Amino acid sequence: MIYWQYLFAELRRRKSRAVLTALGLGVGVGLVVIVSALSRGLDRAQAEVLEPLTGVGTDMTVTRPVNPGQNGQGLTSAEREKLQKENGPRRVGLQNLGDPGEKFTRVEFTTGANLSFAAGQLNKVVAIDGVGKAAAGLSVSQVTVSGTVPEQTSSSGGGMGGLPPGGGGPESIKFDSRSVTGVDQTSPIGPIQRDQLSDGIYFSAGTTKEAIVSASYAKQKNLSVGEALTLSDRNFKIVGIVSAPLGGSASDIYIKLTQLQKIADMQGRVNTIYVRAKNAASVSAAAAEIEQTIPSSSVTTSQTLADRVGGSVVDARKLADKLGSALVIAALASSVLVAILLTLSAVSKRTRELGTLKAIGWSRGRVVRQVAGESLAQGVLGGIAGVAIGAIGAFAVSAAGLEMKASVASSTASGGGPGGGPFAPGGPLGSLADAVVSGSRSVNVTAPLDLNLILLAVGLAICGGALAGAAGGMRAARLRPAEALRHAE
Amino acid sequence: MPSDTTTNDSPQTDQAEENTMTATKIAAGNAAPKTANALYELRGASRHFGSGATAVKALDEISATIGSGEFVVIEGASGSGKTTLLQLLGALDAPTAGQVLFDGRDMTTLSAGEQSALRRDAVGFVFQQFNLIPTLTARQNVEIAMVPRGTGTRERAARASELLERVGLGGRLEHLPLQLSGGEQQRVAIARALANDARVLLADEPTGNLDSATGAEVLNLLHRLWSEHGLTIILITHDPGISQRASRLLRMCDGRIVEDRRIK
Repeated sequence: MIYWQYLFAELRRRKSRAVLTALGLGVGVGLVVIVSALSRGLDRAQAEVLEPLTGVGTDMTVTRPVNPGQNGQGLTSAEREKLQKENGPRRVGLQNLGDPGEKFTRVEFTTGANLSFAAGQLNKVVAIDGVGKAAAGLSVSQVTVSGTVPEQTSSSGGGMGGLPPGGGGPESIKFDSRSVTGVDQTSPIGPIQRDQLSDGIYFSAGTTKEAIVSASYAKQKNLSVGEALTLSDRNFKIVGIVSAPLGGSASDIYIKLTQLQKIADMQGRVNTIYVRAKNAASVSAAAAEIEQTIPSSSVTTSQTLADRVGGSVVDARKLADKLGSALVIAALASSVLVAILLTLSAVSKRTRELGTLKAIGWSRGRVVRQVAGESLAQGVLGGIAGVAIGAIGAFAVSAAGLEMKASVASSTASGGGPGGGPFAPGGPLGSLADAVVSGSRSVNVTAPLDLNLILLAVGLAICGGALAGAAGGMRAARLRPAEALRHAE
Repeated sequence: MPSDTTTNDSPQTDQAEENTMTATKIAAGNAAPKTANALYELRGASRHFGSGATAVKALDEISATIGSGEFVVIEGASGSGKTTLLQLLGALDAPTAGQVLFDGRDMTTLSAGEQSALRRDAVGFVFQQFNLIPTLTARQNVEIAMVPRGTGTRERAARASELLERVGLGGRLEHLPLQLSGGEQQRVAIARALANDARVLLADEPTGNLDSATGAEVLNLLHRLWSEHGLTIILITHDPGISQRASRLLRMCDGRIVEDRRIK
């Protein structure tokens, strides 16, 4: 009892010093709270952006991409042959359209830079250790070429279909493309999932011709659930609207895989395998083995997608990681140093008092405990002050309504180059199927506090107080009673 | 009654009986008079500060014996080694050479913990500047001496109150030192020194900071404690009047005892 009475009486006696010490610790700890809360807020903001990427149940996507370069240059002969077969003149060329001056309309499906492979590869992927579930998908572009047969096209065969360089083609010919993805609706993973639906329902189990369209496409074409959609002369009923996540894979239209394979004349072919790993630790190893198992394949992990997210929110997160950590360490070190110096100074001022305690029989340990106890109490006060300062700072950050941008760069193969070409962004194949949704979105950054953060703050302040107490206690322990009693107050 | 059989000192001795004093001048280093129940024994105890040419000999090979129940007054000019001697006797310091025995135990061989225990259980200190904890009340200042002994809270409070009553401060239990006069503060310090039933009370100029009337009150109190409770008192003073009420006078000069006089 008298221990506490003495302790608090001493704190009251040296009120300004105690307050200064506690405030010093409080400011340091408060800064830790603010930076940690802000960092957590940035994490949340980043997670808000990333959640759709990682939340669709897919850890990896397996594709077989090629970079066609300008007009397909730079490909191996096998790739070039495959590219020609899936995207070449047979599908999008302007041969045999009729006589010059005649009107024409031609609809074809192309795989773009993600070449197809046999659907049987799915079984090889499923057999790989570390792979939990896998589903196949097919993403294509439905290209509609229409217009009037140009004069020169009848003699311009081969190549990429005689398309004039520079992109766009003659004004008399119109290119229209929309991306379509075939979904294995029986699998729990894939390009879209039920929780991404903003309207309507998911695919039914049967063979009904159903389509789910992306929200942006629905808005662009003024489509809604229940309406009909024509794909290659076949009517599909729109059953749902899906919101394409920023950075996620997106198509304009989703239909059942088997139905797309049929209308695109690509039976038994897929160009994407969606893979869920058994656990997070097995992603890297599984990805490497998949790339070895499927020749020329490329595995994109959700981390790869996450890495594409940039913008101020990511910059701020990096800043918080680096500068914030340095700031926190500097602030904490400074506040603890101040606490230690003030404690040492207090011990010096109390030399005779501590010497008296030793003279009346207090052991060295008891004197040290008294000094350390006072510092610990200051640490507790510092923790309370730190929580208050941190809470005010965190509240201010949240109230300021910081808005930051998260942007995602496109991952599609860039075939454009200076001269443009069919794969250029403005070209007929520029809108490759299954493109990553690029762009940016705003996210609000807050600085959320929770119990752990508060406990951390108090804990840090107590540790600071304990360090100061240890330093003061050691100084007190070294005091020789005879010298201490000679000390002038 | 003090039980010093060697000196036959009577507690009732006062300065009126100065004609009965026996003066014994001894040279430093001489063998101290033998005491049947010696409380302290100094054997060539020296305390030097610094080394080489700048070394200061605060105490220079002192030998003396102090019996239980004696009221010893140490006189001497400033720097003569009085306080250093008192600190050796109180286990606050250790001699650089020689031995200091307390109750037959060589204090120079005691560990820091044993020295603390000795101060706690057997020695009480009274300082010139009182050395009270300014934030604690009179009662708490007395209690705090009992804390290291593990005395229970209630017992501590009761004993502190009883001691303060005994020194005439029954009505000042909850006063802070600053609310007390110098004499009252010194009485609190004396009560604190007695808290653990000390066998010896070491007082370093206890009246030095008090006016003569208050100083006399404090001296009367100490004298009463000696005469009624048989406490051994070793007191440093510059006041020649005090030595006339003691049983023995030690005069110091340049770190040596130059006079050891027993007073009847």
